[in-house]
Amino acid sequence: MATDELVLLQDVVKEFRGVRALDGVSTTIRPGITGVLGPNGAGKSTLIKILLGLVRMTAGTGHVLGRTLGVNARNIREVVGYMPEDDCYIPGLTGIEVVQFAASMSGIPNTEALRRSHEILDFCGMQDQRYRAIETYSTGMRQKIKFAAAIVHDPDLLILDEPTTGLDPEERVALLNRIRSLADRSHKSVILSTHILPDVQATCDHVLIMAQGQIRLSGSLRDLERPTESRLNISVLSGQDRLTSWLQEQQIHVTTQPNGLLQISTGGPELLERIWQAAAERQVAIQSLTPSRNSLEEIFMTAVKEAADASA
Amino acid sequence: MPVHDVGYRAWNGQRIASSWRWWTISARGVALVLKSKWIRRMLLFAWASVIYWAVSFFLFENFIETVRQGIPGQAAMAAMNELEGTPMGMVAEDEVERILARRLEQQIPLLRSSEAQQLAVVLADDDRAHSRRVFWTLMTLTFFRYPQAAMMVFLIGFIAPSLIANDMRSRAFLLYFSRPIRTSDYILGKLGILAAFLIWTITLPALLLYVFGVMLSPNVSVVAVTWDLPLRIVLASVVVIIPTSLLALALSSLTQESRFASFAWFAVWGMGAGAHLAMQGNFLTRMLGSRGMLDGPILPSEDRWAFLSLYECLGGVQRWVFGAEVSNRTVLTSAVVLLGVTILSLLVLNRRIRQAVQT
Repeated sequence: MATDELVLLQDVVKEFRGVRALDGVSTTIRPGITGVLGPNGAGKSTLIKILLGLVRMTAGTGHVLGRTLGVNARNIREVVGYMPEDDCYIPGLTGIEVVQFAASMSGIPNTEALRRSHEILDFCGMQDQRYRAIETYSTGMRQKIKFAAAIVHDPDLLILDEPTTGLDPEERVALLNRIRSLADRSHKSVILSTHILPDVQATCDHVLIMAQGQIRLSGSLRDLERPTESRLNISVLSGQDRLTSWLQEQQIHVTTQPNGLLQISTGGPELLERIWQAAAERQVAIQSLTPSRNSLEEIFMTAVKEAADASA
Repeated sequence: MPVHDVGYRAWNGQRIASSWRWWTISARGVALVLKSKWIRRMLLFAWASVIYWAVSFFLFENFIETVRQGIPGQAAMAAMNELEGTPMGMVAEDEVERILARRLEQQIPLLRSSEAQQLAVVLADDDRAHSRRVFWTLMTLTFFRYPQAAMMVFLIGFIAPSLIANDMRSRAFLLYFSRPIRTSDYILGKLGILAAFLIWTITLPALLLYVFGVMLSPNVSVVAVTWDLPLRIVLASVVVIIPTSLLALALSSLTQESRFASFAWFAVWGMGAGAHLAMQGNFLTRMLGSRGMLDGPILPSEDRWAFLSLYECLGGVQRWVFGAEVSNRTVLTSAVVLLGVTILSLLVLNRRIRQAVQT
């Protein structure tokens, strides 16, 4: 296993009573922030539980941070922080007690655990609310506590399951910034499982798309979203109707994007010249004309559709 | 170096050994339970019976001091003083024992008829050391069997049902098992919570009772006769703590609603005791007797229906631990039942916790 491979999975299969939750998953996760995307039932949670050693694989092999899956589960959890999607708390404890308890269970001595918990809650922007019973917390505050509990023992790898669920826009941005800062400044690696595509776009370096228990697509976000030469986006300040009519007359396929951009299939440099000329003749003010990028949403939808078609 | 930085900082300290992680669970659990003022009151109340029992030790030690050591037949003489004008040669031995038993019962309210008779037999022989041994054993056993056993059932009935059921309901399992914690650490940690409260409720009061007994005795030589009692107290506590705590935890793991686990816990004790009395065939006699259930012995030496009741099984083994009279068959049956309860509870716990983690 190469040193820059955080997670290495080979032909991992997990069956629950005859149902395949994971079907021959092989992938490598490298340092940085990796977004794990997939519809419900894609196998994301099962994959995370296998990485944490909570669920045994039916078949296959794997390593997490150089530790063998199925052999060193406890060692793996020493160096991995996990923030579950579900609410998980111990009724009766205050916020600070929950984080301190998490730290103690990870082996931090009790007094040091308390000091460290305060430090982490400061980092998470949790003020005096930390002394309140956790049952009285809003969803957003519980998310903060879960995040703090996940990082309190200074893990090398952080697995976050839907971390921004229930957060207001301001808190969501703050949490994503914290995640980004952990990766950039503290060199932590993060696996971010989420349904919220903008979260992935805002934070992730790599993307892994799962569907029907298989990994349908993986790679760096930059590569996946690379500009495509076959399409152009046109932003028009005025005269969009006239330009659209002209493009249709020329039998050029044109679509209007939800954000108002016109998207056309390019036909080489000649077409660009003709568009500029037509715009000038028809007094159309073009603001920008850029190669179209694959949006993450399109990539995701295509991968999921392909998986559905393959299984049909 | 920044003057003020609330940014993320790495932690490079020394971690405690993984074999002690269960202690963290126990310590946090105990602290959480102690937040309840009702539990705190119960824990204080659990010590109240020590005073009552200690007075009995004092009364008994004073009683036997009235029998002068080394003079054969002195106990019998003391007893015969009650028989006004009766010549010594005309008093039957069983009559002396009867009188001694009556006097013991009168002076020591905690002593029941059967136990007083047992003691009277020894006292009539003027074996003071043996009589002390018998009395201290009986009193410690009754202390275990009645006030502390009742406190144990109620205390565990209040504390244990929520220990795992609440973790299941609030999905706190993920908080535990996303850490370097094994199933055995979790079970041991939860067991530690109950053990801590049971040690407080059973073991420490019994040890304190022993210390009080020694301090209140006019003669310190009692220590030479009863030196092993503290060790037996500890062993008898282990006999109670392990099967009962594991059973309570297993019941808690079977449901997400702690009240169901609580109901099941009390049902185990209630139905077991009911079934045992019914099968003994003296349910009505014992319940409606002149002094109710206190008329009978702590445990009959032979109890073939002990296996029906967890309470009787605990009693059978505890009686053996304290060296009181009990048949081998009763001890063996009781020990097998307690072992079975322990193993079954562990299997249930292991299975339920693994299931909960994987779903």
